[in-house]
Amino acid sequence: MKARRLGEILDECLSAYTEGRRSIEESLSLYPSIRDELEPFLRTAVEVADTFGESSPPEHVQERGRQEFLTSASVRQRAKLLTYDLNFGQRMGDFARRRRRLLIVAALAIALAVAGAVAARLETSSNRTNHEAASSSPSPLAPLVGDLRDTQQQLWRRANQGVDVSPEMIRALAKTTTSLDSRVGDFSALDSQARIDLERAIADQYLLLHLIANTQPAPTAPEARRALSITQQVAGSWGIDLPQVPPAASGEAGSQVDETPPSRQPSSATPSPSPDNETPTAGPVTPQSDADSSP
Amino acid sequence: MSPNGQAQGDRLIVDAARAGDASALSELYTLYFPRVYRYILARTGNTYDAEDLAEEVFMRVLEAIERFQWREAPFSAWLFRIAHNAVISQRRKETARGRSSQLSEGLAVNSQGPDELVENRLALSDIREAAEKLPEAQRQVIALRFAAGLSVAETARTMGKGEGNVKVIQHKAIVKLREMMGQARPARVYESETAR
Repeated sequence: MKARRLGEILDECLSAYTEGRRSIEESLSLYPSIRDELEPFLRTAVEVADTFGESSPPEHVQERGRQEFLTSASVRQRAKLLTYDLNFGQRMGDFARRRRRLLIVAALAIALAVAGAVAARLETSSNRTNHEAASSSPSPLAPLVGDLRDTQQQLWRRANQGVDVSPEMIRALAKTTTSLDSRVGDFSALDSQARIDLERAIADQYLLLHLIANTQPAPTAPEARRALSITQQVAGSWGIDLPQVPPAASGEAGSQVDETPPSRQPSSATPSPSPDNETPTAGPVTPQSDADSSP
Repeated sequence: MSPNGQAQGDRLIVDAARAGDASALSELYTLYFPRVYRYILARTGNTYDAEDLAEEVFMRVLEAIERFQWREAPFSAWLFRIAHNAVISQRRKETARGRSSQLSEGLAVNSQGPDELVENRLALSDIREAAEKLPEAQRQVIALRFAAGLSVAETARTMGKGEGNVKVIQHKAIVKLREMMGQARPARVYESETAR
């Protein structure tokens, strides 16, 4: 108990001395009853404290250490920032990869939707053409429309099966379309069935060319875009409303087509509304048989 | 500056240093390097070791300062635990190498003339030799309180002991030092009783 009390008084006097609050004598005078006991220990403690306190590191050592310390801190800071940048880059890379995958999936989904719509239209159109061919006399435009449908069928099959489409086939399609346009003359003068057949053929071709322009590599895709432009001009001259294409599917081709001004004014005739001429919806891809494709 | 003001100042500097502020790091170094050096010198008795280890301690501080948390201990207690571990680690290495810690021949002490230098070297040598004979806890208290200049509270936090316990250990250490140093040489005569 006494030792604890003496220890506390010793520490109090030592703290007062090191903090500059009291001298040794002043402290001893505060504790006259234990002065004799306290004094030697207090003087020893002060001597120890002073001796250690006088031992300072050499200036050059302290300065050298400071420079190393600050340099190391700076290097660490830079490394930390670099690590953050790398992590950020990695995160962005992951995001970009995920985004790319999403775009591919979206493009495939759109392509399938367009292909499904094309297939459905071609099938319906082909069935009607066969039925009409069997029930009525052939129109003078029938051979050309038949050629157009044949080429469209071949192109659709190739595009749907992931086989490369040759640009020559696209050029042939465009040429047939131009020939048909020159043979049609006044679209409004045609009978209603011929108008409907041509309207469907052009609308289907428009969707088909969109699909090819978005899924086939160069030089087929640019050729498809040129053919799209021709198709759009022909549709404009006949006064046909083309089906809407999903924005992502239209992509580059769509923008290019939109920028192309129509070279010919649409005819004054308003085509009769047809249920087949509505915006296509996604559906199962159903390839047609060769028999169905014949006019 | 009051202890609270000192603690507040320390906190500002340490927080800025943790955020990587170069001037705060420099200030932290200025504040603590001499104290760490003296602590290590008190523990090892070798100026070269004290220089190297003090620098090493600050490198360790740099590595660990982001993990430092105020609620666990004051910064000084945290810092001197690192210094203590560095001393222990050094001691183990020297034991493995078979080298005993020797007092350096040239104790570098600033602003001292040759007479003072010799006197200080002798005094330090005496104290060091005497302290070496103390139990570990007493040696640790002497080094933290008198060489590093920590308060009783900081010493208690560094050692993980109560403040009352630290005062008792300190008292016992001084009693023993007095005995040992009294046998070696008379206590230093204080020409001036003015507080420093």
